[in-house]
Amino acid sequence: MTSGKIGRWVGFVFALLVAASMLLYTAKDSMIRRAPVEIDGYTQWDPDLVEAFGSMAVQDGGRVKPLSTWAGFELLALNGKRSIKFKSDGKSVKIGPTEWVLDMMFRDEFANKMEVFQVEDANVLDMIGMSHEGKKRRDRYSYLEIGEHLHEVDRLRNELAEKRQKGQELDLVEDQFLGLYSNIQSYVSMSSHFNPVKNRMADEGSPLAPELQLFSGWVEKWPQLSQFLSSAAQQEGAEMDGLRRVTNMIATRIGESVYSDIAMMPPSDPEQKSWPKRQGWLSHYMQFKTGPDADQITYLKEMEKLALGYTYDGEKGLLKEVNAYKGRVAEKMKARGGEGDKIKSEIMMYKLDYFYRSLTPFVLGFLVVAFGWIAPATRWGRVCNRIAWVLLVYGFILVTLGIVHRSILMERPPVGNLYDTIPFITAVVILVLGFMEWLTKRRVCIGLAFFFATLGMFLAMWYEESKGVDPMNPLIAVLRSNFWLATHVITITIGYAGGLLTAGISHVYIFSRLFKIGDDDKSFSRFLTRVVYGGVCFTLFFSLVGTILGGVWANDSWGRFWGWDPKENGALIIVLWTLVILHARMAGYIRDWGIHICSILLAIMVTFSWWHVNFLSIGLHNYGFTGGSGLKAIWSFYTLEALVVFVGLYMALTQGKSKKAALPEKA
Amino acid sequence: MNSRKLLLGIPTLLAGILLVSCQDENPPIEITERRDLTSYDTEGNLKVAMPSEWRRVPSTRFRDYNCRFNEDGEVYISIASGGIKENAERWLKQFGSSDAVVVEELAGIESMGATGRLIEAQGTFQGMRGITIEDAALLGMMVESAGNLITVKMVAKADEVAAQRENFMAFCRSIEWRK
Amino acid sequence: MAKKNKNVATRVIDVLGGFHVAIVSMVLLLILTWLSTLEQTGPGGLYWTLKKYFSFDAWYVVPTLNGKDLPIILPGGYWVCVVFTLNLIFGGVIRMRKGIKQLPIFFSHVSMAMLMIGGAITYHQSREAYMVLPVGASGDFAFSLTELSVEVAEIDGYDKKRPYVIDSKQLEAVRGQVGATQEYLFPELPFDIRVSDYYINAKLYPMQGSAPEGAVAVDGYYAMAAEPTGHEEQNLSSCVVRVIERESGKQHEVMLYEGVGHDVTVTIDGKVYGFRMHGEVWNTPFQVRLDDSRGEKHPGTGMAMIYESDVTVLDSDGNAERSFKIEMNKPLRYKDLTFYQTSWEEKDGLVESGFTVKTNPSDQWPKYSIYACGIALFVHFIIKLFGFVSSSIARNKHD
Repeated sequence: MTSGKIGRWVGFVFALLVAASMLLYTAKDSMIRRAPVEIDGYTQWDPDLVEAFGSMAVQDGGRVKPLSTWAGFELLALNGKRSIKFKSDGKSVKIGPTEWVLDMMFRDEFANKMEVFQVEDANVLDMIGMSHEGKKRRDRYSYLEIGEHLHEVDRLRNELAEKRQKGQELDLVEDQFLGLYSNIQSYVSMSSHFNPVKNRMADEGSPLAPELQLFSGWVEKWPQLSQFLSSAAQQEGAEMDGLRRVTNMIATRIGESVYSDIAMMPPSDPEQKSWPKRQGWLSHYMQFKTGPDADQITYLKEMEKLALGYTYDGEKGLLKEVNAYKGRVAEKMKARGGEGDKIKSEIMMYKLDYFYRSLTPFVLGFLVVAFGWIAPATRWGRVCNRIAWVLLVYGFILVTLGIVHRSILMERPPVGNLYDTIPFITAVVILVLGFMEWLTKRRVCIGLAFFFATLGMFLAMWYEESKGVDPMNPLIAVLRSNFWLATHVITITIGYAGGLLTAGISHVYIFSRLFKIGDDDKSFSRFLTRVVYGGVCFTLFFSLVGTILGGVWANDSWGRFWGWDPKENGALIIVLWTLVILHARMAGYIRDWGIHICSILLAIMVTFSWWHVNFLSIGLHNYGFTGGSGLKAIWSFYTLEALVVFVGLYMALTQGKSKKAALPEKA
Repeated sequence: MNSRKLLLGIPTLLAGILLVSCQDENPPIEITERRDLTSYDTEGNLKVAMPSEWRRVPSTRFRDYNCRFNEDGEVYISIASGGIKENAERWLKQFGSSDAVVVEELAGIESMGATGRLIEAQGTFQGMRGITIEDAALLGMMVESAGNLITVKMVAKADEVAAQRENFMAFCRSIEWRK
Repeated sequence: MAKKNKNVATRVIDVLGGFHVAIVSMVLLLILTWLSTLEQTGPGGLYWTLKKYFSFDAWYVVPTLNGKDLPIILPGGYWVCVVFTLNLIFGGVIRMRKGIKQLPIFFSHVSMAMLMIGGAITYHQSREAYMVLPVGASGDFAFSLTELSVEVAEIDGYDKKRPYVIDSKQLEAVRGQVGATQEYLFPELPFDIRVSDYYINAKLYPMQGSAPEGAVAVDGYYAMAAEPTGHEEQNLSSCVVRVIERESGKQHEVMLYEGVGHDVTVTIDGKVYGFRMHGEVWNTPFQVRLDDSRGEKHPGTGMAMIYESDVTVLDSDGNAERSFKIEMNKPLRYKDLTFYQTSWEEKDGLVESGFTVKTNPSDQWPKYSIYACGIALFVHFIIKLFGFVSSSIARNKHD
């Protein structure tokens, strides 16, 4: 076998390994580590109800979104995954976010058993004296298990709040506890949302007036009724007993009403931006600490209609009420400038799940291209190539559709926050490498394109999961300028893409020289070098223009062109390094090996600028991508690239020596 | 060839650095530059002409215009709440007197376009923060103006207070609201 | 190229304009940028890190990482930029080969040199201060949030005379230096002063009994040095001023604190003099009246959505000259001042807007530079790309 053939087989095996590790990563979460919890008697929700309930509007994080989106991120934040698995009556059951919310709100006897609280480190539970026998260090817990220790939880939280107020720093476990506390708060907010209005105050046959058979009636007429009740409490007699029972019922409901933090109904005033949240309002109002609020009372009534619909008529009743509620709310939302008119579109976006789906053509495409490497000049090779092109275009369209759909939903240019940069960079890389492949037809660029595309989509999924926060968030004031957002941010992001793909090609160069692929074809390495040179120019152009446009934008907004802040500095570093590469090459200080080694360093600098600067002031304080494990990933990447640089340097030096010995020196 | 130039450059640079950092002495700087007054210089809601024998010191939360004289004599303006009666009685308590105060019987003084009342006491002063002054005197004024109670309080050794009496009166008369 | 008959000037231009210097200065700038990024997230904060790395006085830099000084000395950032700009001019513009092919690169070098020179002008000539106005009020001054001054003025009854100003540059010698003293002479006043014990961040307390260990006590008050926060605007400085009467030699001491909103006084020969420490005050050449101001947050969050203000510029008689609307990304440019809306507060129904007032002679240079450079580079790279594409296609046809 020629060295070229060995090289091709090495490449193929490498491709297989990459594909396998990616598949294993996705599979790891579905691999059940422990036996799942048993929740017998569970019945699945009616799919029509799930769809109708999930498409109700909720205001969260500054924008109006479908309940299913909101539920998805709540579940992600608690559970680390968008689905819950358990066993019921011997069968395994898997439910999604909307069903989980329905269970919490209406059937909490089931929800409380589900293990949704993901705890990274069991030491957190030791702090509240909760036992975790039989569980792993990093495991999931149910509300039932944690609920026994709520007193401890509250006590510890107050302690830590005091500590924070005094300016003391919390250690890692304490920080995680606060994360868990916040998750418990979210959980309770959802599960208690309907509690005050789940039942009537009295049955239809009771002597109480019809309005007073409902809790909302009592709330509306509370100023008069509370007087009546308190005087009744003084007296004796059987009817007074009944009224005392009512008083107790009301007290219980008030107690349960303070946790709800959900904004599900638009206010009546079209000018008012914030949707009402119940929180402590009902409690304060019933204690006369605050006055009546028409919106809050309407909100309570609407929630009552939904809740009673389920209690007395089951899923059918709830579905009917949900549809009626949506009808009523639709009018209000239209008057508010069409708030919520993108809900259907957003639900479709999540259903289509462009980025996740694009993984299939990308991984497949990578394997197909690798197969083609085995025998590129044959018919087999050409067929593989054609299939690969189809897969690439298909994947690219999916990614682009995802980017465009998000832009439309958010009504802004494609890149507005860190998450947005990931699919955008992926799309640019595919585009540029695709173009290079079309020009050069060496099957290298297309393979690299699939590799990067897969990596990019995984990165997007990983980032979204660990942040657990809806990445479609509204922009802060300074970014709310579409012109600059479109020009500066996009140019810089394209610059990042350029830096990464250039480094990718340099990796191919170094590996192909290491494994002696294409040694019989000198034009191959020369080709790679020319592509890298072009890539460096590309990166320079976009990074330079983007960096300075950023300065012009900053100068227009805040009066300072350059403030040496981390993000700006990161971009400047990329510009300077690409300039150094180009000038060093022009001066003859570096040639082929030099350019490729420098371009690997460029990847390190792009990573520093794209990711690392976001972590600088945070340190290692929280888990998840925005903290410890993100930094770890970055450092592993640096180490990997440093290794490649050393390999390159070693080869450059040894090759230089052998060349000097063997050939007369070229000019 | 290039390296020779580099070798020349480094020592020159270092010498320059050493020269610059060798100047530890700070020669006196002459100040003649003045700036025009702006609305920055007319801050605060009270206009006051302070006697030149006194000196103004930093205000605190309860002392809006805070002055000292001699070594540790204190006199300050506060914008307080409540009426003259309760506040005067509170001041007198610090001198160990629990007499009731009849506002109309107190001596009057023109201040802030209204009639201010003078409060005087002598004896041992027991103030806040555990401060005790023997042979002390209190000379104070309270006036109700624009819905606020403006108080001026001077506490020091009795002879010092007596010596500052004229200044105190002039001070009180000079207080105005800044529009 | 003939080596003889090269005089010193030509040789200097050769070296300064060479590739060597270009690459070394860019690499140095890269390292300085990287290290200052890491250091600014430490305790010093952005303000002091920038002073350390990029100020005109910083000839050299000893970087600090994780609280420890690194065993290397780097040249200061300002001076590396100077060398880099000279290199751009000598090498990239003067010495560069001129020809039609090199035209785009020539233009981009020229525009980058303009950018750097514009940056130097901004550094030396621009001035920035902050103006806070409640709705309905007008202001004629702005004050610096980070550059402090000490002012001395004679107070006559209700009125204050024009203050003498010791600006921040003149306070450099003592600022934050424990044990340093600086003397200031006032030839037009009957005294001179010495400033000492200047803490970057301190807290002022009234004395209760005796002052604690390590505190500086003056006239019933003492200042305790506090750890400077990473944000210079939030640090409140203090210093001790010793007033020395020239004729009699008598001395008085006062404590100045940035958090005190008024003068503290010393009486000399029957005249009252007020001393104050606060951000440098800048009289704006015209008055600005805030007519209305609106701010909105994203619903349900604390994030700012829009800030905007309606202002009127008044002439010296107080009459309206022109009205403007200032928004967060759209500042007001009038005469040579620029007003940016930087903050907005609503307290108890009263709205207060904060503006950053800036003068910058080279304000628009970066914009023009990048447009010129961007177009030039674009042209250059398109030509190269075109060449690459056509040769690739030719090669493919050939294969």
